[in-house]
Amino acid sequence: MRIEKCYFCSSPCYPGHGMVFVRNDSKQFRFCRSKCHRNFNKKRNPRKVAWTKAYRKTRGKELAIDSTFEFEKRRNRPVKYDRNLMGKTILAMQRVQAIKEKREERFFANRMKDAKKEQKAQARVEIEKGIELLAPAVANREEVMRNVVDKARERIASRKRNAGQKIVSGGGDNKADGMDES
Amino acid sequence: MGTGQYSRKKGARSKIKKYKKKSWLCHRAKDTDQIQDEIEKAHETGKPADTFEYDDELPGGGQFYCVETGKHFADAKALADHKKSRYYKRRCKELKEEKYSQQTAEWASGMTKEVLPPAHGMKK
Repeated sequence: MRIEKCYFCSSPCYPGHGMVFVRNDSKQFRFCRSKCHRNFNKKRNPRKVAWTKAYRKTRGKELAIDSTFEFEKRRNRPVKYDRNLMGKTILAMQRVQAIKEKREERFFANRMKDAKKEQKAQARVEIEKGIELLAPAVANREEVMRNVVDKARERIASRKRNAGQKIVSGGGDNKADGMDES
Repeated sequence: MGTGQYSRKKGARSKIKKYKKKSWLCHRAKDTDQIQDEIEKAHETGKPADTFEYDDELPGGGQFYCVETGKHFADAKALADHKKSRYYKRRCKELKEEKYSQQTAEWASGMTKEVLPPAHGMKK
């Protein structure tokens, strides 16, 4: 039982899913679901459709060249069954998958390295645009800040008090008091 | 003339044979990779891809065929007009792109094909 790859999106076509279209020139086109089949009928080029693997790899959104890709191959010569080999292959598959995932994560992190700066710049632009919405909040800002500072002072004071009481009485029931106050 | 309401209702065209016929597989236009294959074959064998034997059933006897769109036309003028159309120019651009095949789809999912040495020795 072979798990084929979808012609359009390159995802696996499991048994009981999808469709096979056989064209006049006897070429088979496997689709993992009707979404891919319908896009194919509309004659869309998978390389231009953003959610397909072909698009992502050609545009450098995902790891495309790596040694871990050398392991998964379409093998047309059957291998004589050997229990040890089978066990070792399964373990190797798990290990290779783990390594592949780590490398893809690293690739993604690398790609998104400069994203934080961009996001901040965009946020700044957005705030400038919507400054009218924030105007009442800016007016209240001082009050809010004062509130926050007061509350923080209260909390610190109560903590100090509780710490003092603990040392004196050595009891642990002061924690409840502290919780209520803050 | 009809009342003109047909296409205003949603999904109404799915019940009208005239429109359904357009999506039947026998009327399906050729895919770009099919045409790219034909062009490649014509390149290799040297036989031009657009010559057909005279066939009564094809429009224009099959003599006026556009390779890029896979269409037969009634006469040379129709063919020439077609070559100026936007459809034809768009097709030409699409054909220049790299061919997409099952192999590309498998490469994109990380799967390649195992290449083994030939079982019966190299041809000399």
